[in-house]
Amino acid sequence: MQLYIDATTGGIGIQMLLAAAVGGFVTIKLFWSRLFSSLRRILPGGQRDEIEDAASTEDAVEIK
Amino acid sequence: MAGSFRDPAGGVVLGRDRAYRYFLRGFTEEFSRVTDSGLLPSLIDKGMVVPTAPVPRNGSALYDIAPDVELVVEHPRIPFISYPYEWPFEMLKAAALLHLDVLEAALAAGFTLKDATPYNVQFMGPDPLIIDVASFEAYQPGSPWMGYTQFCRTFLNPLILQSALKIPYQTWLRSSLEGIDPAQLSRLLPLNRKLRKDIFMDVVLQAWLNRKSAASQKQKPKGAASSPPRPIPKEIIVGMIRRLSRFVARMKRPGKNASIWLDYEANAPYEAEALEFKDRFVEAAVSEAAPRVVWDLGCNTGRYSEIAARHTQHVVAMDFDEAVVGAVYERVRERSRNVLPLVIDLMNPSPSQGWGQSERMGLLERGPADFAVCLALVHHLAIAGNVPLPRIAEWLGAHVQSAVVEFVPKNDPMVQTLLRTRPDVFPDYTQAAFEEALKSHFTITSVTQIPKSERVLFLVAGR
Repeated sequence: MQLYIDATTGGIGIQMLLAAAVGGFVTIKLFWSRLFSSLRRILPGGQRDEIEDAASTEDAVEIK
Repeated sequence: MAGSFRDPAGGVVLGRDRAYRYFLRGFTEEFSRVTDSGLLPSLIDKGMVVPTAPVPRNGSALYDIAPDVELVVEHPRIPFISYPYEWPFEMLKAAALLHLDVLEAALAAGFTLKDATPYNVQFMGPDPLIIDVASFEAYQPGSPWMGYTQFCRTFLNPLILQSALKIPYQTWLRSSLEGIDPAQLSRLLPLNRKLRKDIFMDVVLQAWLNRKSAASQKQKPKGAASSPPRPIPKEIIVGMIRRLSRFVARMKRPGKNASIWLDYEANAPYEAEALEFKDRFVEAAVSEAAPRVVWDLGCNTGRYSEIAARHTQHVVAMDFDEAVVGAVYERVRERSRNVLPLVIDLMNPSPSQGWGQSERMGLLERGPADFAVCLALVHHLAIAGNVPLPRIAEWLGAHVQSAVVEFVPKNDPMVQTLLRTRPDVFPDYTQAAFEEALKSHFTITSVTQIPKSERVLFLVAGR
């Protein structure tokens, strides 16, 4: 049975995991930026600034 | 060439001074694209890939070497073919970094490398070079790095074995040409090493995923279709290559300077006058012989390899001690561009092995040497290795055309050190017996005693 197992599966698996992790990270980032931009549209000016501040803090955390 | 049969795209044949790679019909387009894109010329200019030039078809017999040969290219011949299990830690590390650099450059130009094996790397003196120009192929967006597993098995895991566990990898790599399996390496690593980021990903996680994949394959009903693989963005592969480059570059030989042989030169029982005499003698002998290739057998820290290198095209410096060969590599990489240091145990040199026992050449198939420097060697073979003097002379006669050979008499402190832990069963170990043995295979040109020493230098030439 061992002879029929492709030795590269683990290596490809790692690359797929990394791709999934990066994909997930991008999706979460996209979700937050869309959420903030829609809130910005709904809320009046003062509260909008607070949301923008929160969004920029969130980005800073992600960059770290 | 025996090792090139695996590639369906063509093969390699060796000429006297050139090596020729032929491409069969249907496999030349890829190579032409790599050349036309400027990638190959740029890598050749940077000294990363072996110089390559097309051989004009007009009347060249090389195009008849096999049916359907469409293109032949030529390279300079590598002076001495060597294998990863003969390289010290520093050389395998240099080869690994070269492979990653070439792969990253290839990806930037829209290409990739089909495989990731150190058998595609050879050393021209101390410089590693990719020799398999047929390894390049177009990169298909979304495809994974197919050579990653092979890179780990043949480059990374041996380096981890030595840097993390202090176990030289040469003996393992010599008997396992496909490299070190991540599951086996993982079993050897202690927990604190396994939890380090790079080792966790490249060894532990890879071994676990291999095991999971094998288990799921067993459970899968017969004929069940596999889900299509998820595309891998190129940035992920480039990120992996850069991470691996940083990881490999950080790796260090553990216990540097641990070998007693590194101090041999400083502790050698020679007075300065004797040492200077020996230097001059070797220099004059090599210069007079004007050989093309010199083998420095038992090279120690490479002192005589460097002296010989001034008067010959190539020196192959061999020693069984991996740490001293690593030190020789560090010493010659800046100073003597024509010295190739290799880990070779003359009591058990590299065998002919691989498919049909002809894929990887044994040491002696790569000879004979035009000239050999055998200093402070014979007493190790005769007393530590129990090889009778006539057999040592016979071996030299078969594989060396001429040589300078040092005989260290029994009353020398170094021989006495060897005899301290073993009974003296060597009544035939005498200068006269050695001289007689050499006469059976060589013409003895001179017999010279080293001043302020009882050691003797024989200058011998083949008949």
